Amino acid sequence: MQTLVVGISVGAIYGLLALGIVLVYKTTRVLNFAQGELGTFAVYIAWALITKSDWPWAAGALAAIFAVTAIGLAFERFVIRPNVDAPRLTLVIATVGLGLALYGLEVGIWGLSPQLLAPPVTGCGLDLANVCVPPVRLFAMGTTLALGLGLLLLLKRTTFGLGVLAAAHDPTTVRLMGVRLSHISMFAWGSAAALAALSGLILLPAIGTFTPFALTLFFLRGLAAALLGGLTSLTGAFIGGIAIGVLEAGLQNAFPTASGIVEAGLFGVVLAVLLLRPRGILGSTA
Amino acid sequence: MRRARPYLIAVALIALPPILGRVFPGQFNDLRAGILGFGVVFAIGALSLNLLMGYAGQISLGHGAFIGVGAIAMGIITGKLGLAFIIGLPVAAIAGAAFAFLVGLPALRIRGLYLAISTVAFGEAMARFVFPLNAVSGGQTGISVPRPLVGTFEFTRNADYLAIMVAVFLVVWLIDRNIVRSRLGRAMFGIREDEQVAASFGVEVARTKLTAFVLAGALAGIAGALQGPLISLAQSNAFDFDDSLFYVMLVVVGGLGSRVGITIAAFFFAAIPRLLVSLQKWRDFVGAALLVFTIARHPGGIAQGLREARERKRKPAEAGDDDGVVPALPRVLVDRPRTPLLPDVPLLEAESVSVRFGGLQALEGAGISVRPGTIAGLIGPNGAGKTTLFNVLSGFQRPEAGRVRFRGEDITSAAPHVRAALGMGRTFQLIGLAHNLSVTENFLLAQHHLDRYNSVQAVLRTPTARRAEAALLERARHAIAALGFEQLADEPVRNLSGGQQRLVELGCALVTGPDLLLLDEPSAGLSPAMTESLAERLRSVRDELGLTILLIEHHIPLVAEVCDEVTVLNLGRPLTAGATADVIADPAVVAAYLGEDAA
Repeated sequence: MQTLVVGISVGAIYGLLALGIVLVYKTTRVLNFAQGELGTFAVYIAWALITKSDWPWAAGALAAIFAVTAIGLAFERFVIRPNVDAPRLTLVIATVGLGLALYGLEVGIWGLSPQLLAPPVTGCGLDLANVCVPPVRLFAMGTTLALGLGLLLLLKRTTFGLGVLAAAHDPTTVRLMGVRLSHISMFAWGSAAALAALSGLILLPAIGTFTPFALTLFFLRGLAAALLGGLTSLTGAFIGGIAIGVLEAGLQNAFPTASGIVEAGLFGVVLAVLLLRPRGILGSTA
Repeated sequence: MRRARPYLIAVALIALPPILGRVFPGQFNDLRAGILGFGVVFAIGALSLNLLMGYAGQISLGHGAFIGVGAIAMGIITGKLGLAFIIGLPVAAIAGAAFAFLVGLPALRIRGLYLAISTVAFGEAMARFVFPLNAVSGGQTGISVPRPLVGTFEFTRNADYLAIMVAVFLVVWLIDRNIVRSRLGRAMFGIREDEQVAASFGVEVARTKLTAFVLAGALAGIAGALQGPLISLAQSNAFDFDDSLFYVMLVVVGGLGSRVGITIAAFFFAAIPRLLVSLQKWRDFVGAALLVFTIARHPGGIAQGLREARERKRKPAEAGDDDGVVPALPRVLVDRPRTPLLPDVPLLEAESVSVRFGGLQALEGAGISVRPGTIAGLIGPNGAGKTTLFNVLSGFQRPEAGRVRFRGEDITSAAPHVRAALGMGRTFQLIGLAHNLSVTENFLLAQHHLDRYNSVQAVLRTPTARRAEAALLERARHAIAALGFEQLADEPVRNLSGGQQRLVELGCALVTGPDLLLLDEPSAGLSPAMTESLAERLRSVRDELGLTILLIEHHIPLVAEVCDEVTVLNLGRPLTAGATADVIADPAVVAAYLGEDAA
């Protein structure tokens, strides 16, 4: 039960990461390896503003989200869009470059030593089965759900949203519907970057200190979650995130001393999904 | 003298560091020699990744793990067991190769992006779970790795150890060059370009991919093995995701597939942070910015810059026009054990073939029979299942029911490359060539199942391999000359006109001296004049070589002119078969093409 509570509350954040990965993959068929580092970068910006310039928490966090969204949009505008016809793997490597660049900036500006950004509220938000679920986690689960539902509504109920869903499948029809592909691509990259920032801001303060590359270490969890959901399903990404969170909590519970056991387990999950059910556990055939 | 030159250069390169270290101990100090040492490690690691990404087109984002395996293997052999460096090196290579083999196995089923994901997961599992284990790497402290010892001489100075590293690097360089010039390298290029086309040329796709992984793993192991003694330590936390990404950056910035560009990038990134200390903490940012810039604006990397500087004066060969007629097709007879053909036994036969795609029954009970020495046609309206049946015949589509026989032997479950080796050549509706390779390279690739030699011979470039390559090149030159394409020989196929590409494709199918030629819409992309002369050329190769031809064709006049017998499919079922004139006049066939009313 404890495992379940811990797993779900952490898994919700992996779900956020996975949501960003899926959104970009679904619309532009690019797997964004910078998704984790965009989040780390947001945390650094927020940390610098809050602890060094004494901004209020919320203002620093918002500024960080805006800044990282701008980075996502700039990357889309100057790297992805001019190269829409390049082989997908080339663009994937470009996202690797973006992640490394952000990492390099963090190292260059702020150095490698661990930093601490205290969460805005501490204490127990909710006591479930003797597990203290911090308010931040509750906020994370709430945000993930709200964002997920909001996105779903936007995507399924508006012409623009339907365009986003169909963009990778049938670009011509989408254009004939009057939706500009560049807007869709902008929307996907912008919101994915914002999601990355949000997951970083929720996760990293909650686990203590952070260093450059911190959230990229969680990238594999987000990726595995997205993969479980078949890489194109938004709900699948969320449920996949929960599943990965529970798996992580379960493995740590069963082998408390083995470091890296989670990564080993994730490797098993990824390999099993890829070999046995490449469409994902929840992915549709389409 | 000329033959000795490469050896002299090699000896000079190896001897240079120790000499410099003694003559200019101030300038060529331990720090600077060590920087070059890191350059060598980076270069070997990047060349090994390039073998996978640049040559075979298989992406690996967990390459740091292979390098780590090599480093830890060297640490265990020399640091823990106290054995010699010279034993550690091959053990590290074998360990790297073994792990790469395991990672390569799923790659046979997983492609592209998904393969990238699985290599990330593998790298993370190794870096966080396997490497930190106490039994593997001594946990946090790592294993201390001694410098090589020869007799009583220990290579303690970096300048001395650098001599060993340079020697190993030169061997790796040579191996890489040998691979590129061999059938193994061509097979990798072929897979990178188009797996189906490569298979139709006789390339064993799965095996080639695994070989690429194993070779890359071995080289990565060597890179890791050299690194340990350099820093006197093999540490578990040095080979994780950011390390893997660093190597991807080196390969892309250097230029995928370019030894020289990648080596320059490796030494550049080894030197920058140490020489300009103020830049040190910006190394990753500079590398990453260059990586993104390379992809966005200059996809060929450093290598492209070098090439453009060299070729600025050379103007590209003229594409030529397509108004001419089809030149004489190459006639090549290859000695191959053949069973004599019996005139009344069909050379190729398929019966009751059924194929289903999801809910669509593409073929049901379809069949065809091709007698030796004839030109047969397979026709039918759009959606009749012609191409599906063709894919069943050439091995790209496994039928749910039915049999395919070639020379009376059952080949229903034989892979495409096996059928190619049996003497079945095929062309594709959309030109089936490796478009980024030159005309000559395509002709060499097309002969993949002839004059074979194994991967070890390829890596070492043994006399057998050289002789085989000479024979292949001879046949390629002959075929290119027959087409009159000598001036286009070194041109990448993508620069040729549509008609020229079609001719090169036909030439490639003929250069192996097949018994049966399967042509998928050969007239597509040809001008009317060329189409007309194509018929004549096909008949003459048939007459002179005793070749049997089966063609799918939309252009009915060509079918009427060239085919002896025709089989008609409609909606996945056999409609009729027989002599061309009878079939074309058959009201049922006319009805199938034009609709019931027109008949």
